[in-house]
Amino acid sequence: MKVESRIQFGRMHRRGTVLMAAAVLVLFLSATGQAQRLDAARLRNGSAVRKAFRQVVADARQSTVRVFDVQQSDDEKDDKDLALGVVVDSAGFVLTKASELNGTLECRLQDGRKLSARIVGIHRDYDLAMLKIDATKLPAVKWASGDDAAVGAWLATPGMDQDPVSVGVVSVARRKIARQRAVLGIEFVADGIRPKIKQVFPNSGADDAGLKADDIITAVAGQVVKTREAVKRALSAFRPGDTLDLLIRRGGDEKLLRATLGDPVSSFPNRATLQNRLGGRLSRRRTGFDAILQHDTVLRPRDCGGVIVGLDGRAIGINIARAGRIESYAIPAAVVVSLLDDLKSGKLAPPKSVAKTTEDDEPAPPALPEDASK
Amino acid sequence: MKRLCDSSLCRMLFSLFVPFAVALTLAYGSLGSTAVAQTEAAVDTAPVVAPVPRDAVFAKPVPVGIEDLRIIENRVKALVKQLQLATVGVRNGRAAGSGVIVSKDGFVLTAAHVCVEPGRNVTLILSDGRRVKGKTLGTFRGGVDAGLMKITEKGDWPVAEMGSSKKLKLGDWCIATGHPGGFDKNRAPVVRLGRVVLNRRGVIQTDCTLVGGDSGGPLYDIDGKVIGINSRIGANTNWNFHVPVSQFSDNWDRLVAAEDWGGDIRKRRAVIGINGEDHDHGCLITGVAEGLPAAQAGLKKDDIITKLEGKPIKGIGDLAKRVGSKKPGDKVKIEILRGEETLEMEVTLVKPND
Repeated sequence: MKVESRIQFGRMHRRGTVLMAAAVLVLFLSATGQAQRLDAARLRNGSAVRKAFRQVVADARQSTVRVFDVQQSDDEKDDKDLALGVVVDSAGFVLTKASELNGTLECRLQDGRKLSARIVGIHRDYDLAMLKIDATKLPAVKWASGDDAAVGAWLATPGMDQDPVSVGVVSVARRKIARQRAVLGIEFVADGIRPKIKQVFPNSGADDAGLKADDIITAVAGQVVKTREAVKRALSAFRPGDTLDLLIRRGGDEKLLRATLGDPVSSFPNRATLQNRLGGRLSRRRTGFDAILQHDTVLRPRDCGGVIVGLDGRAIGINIARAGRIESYAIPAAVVVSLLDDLKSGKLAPPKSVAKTTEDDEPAPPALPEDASK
Repeated sequence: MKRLCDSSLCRMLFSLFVPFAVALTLAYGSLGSTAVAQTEAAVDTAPVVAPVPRDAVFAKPVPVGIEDLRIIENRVKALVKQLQLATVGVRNGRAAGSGVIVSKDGFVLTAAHVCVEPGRNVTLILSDGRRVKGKTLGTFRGGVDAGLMKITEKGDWPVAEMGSSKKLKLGDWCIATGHPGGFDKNRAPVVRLGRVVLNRRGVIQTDCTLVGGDSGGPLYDIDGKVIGINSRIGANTNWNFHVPVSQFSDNWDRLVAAEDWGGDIRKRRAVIGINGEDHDHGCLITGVAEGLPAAQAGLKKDDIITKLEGKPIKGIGDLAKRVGSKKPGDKVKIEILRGEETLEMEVTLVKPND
């Protein structure tokens, strides 16, 4: 076979090194004659490969819903896609990821119905929320029984379309993911005991919430705080991804600000954090689960909250976090099933005042890590 | 890598060796007493991967339905255990990476940037948490990123077989393993499945997603053989780059001899000084650069280079690669066809700017 390209080894007198570089370039380009890039549709997660899973997700997608925040501003409708969810009981119970929820919730069903939803239970350890919609005879998802899916087994995440939103394989057998400290992203003035802010770290939850240097924090999630220690103690009950209200005094004014807590690693980025961000945004709450299966499905955070199925079409778990460039987490089906009754019963109902937004605290905050500010 | 991408992409490419503080604590934390407790589980295993003929599904452009998917799944599930066993974590100073054992006596393929340089003492962590001592050997850098290590303790190590990266086809299914973020005792080497996206000279791209700490870990084909070594990533999850295993097999002696070469590809790559094109018998010379080794050795336009060091040349690309993997100053024997005549000559290679 004759290839048009020519390569030059070394320097021709008159053309010098420019030719050298050009020759190398041509060699690479010429190689495309035989070796093109794999067609995007044929990538592991490409449309043509996902199409092969159409039958796999056929049942589970009938139980899959999308959860929206339907905030109505003055004349404009601004619906925000929050998460996937799954019908776990034909009487209108939908399971989803708690920390993604906020605003006025609505579920969009496969049949096109849009039904408003209220939160009836939140399991904070697993970041699960049970929604109730006014509908009956919904197709409830079928859970896998027996052992966890084996490492290497295919997994497909059904969405609203006939093909899955994404596919992958089990990467790591069931394990626990340690809880990370929640970080607000502030440093206190060291004098005295008052919780006065010395500085707000850029891109932190505090920064996003609008906290500023010299603000004094007076309440955290409804709890009055008078000292730095009290703020830290109050924050210690929360996890990365949680959203809470902060009452602050700025000059003579009181302000109520809403902040979402981050994790130590993202709040103070390093090379590993940057790499994990290559490929898309991660879930805010992505640590602190007693049991997860790690898989290599590339998901958007808003594609978490629904089920993930094995080749037999049964749900092997709930996608609970996009945790890194290479890692997504699913709570194993057996764990999820064991939590369903409690979630439906009202035992885990969020406090009334913030029922819509879910993120506020449960009663008693346990004890404390160290400085939540740093 | 530079040559494969525009500059904006280049800036986003990361090598996966993690000299990181966070994962460092992870790795340290994980290597306590439990590592010892787990030791027995490991060694005896190492079942040899049976050479099962590939099912037709692996040659299909895409799997077509559940049955195809099931065949792929069964294959992957049958392989992973052994693929994980051969995968090691690497601790080199403060940094963490991965590697793969390819011989019973403990040669470990990794990335050059995980070795850093020949002669370093490293700790290798088997998939069961056992730590063993090792030493870095050769490093072939300069955009290639092939590195070799050797376990210096005695033992019968779980191995993976080296395969061939030369015949890879786009879309071939592959499996990557490694220790992203550093070794973690609660987690076996992490398995990812993907396909070959690109296989051009010097680099394999797949959509097996990688991240820091995966550096040096293996990329396997669907027969469970090593076809590449994890090297770097780009901004898209489909941008994962691996050193082709041929870089190891082609340069084995130099790697074993703990040579360090290729540092700056422009300065250190050897040249011979011809223009050429592919020809049925090798490489047809279309021009000879004055003053460079080929001209000095008497090579002429229209000569056909048929062999380099006794091995047949398969065109200009092959010649470029093989010359490029030599060092300036190396003497190479070439065989040429001039008209009916076969001639043999020795050429001393030089730096590009000599």
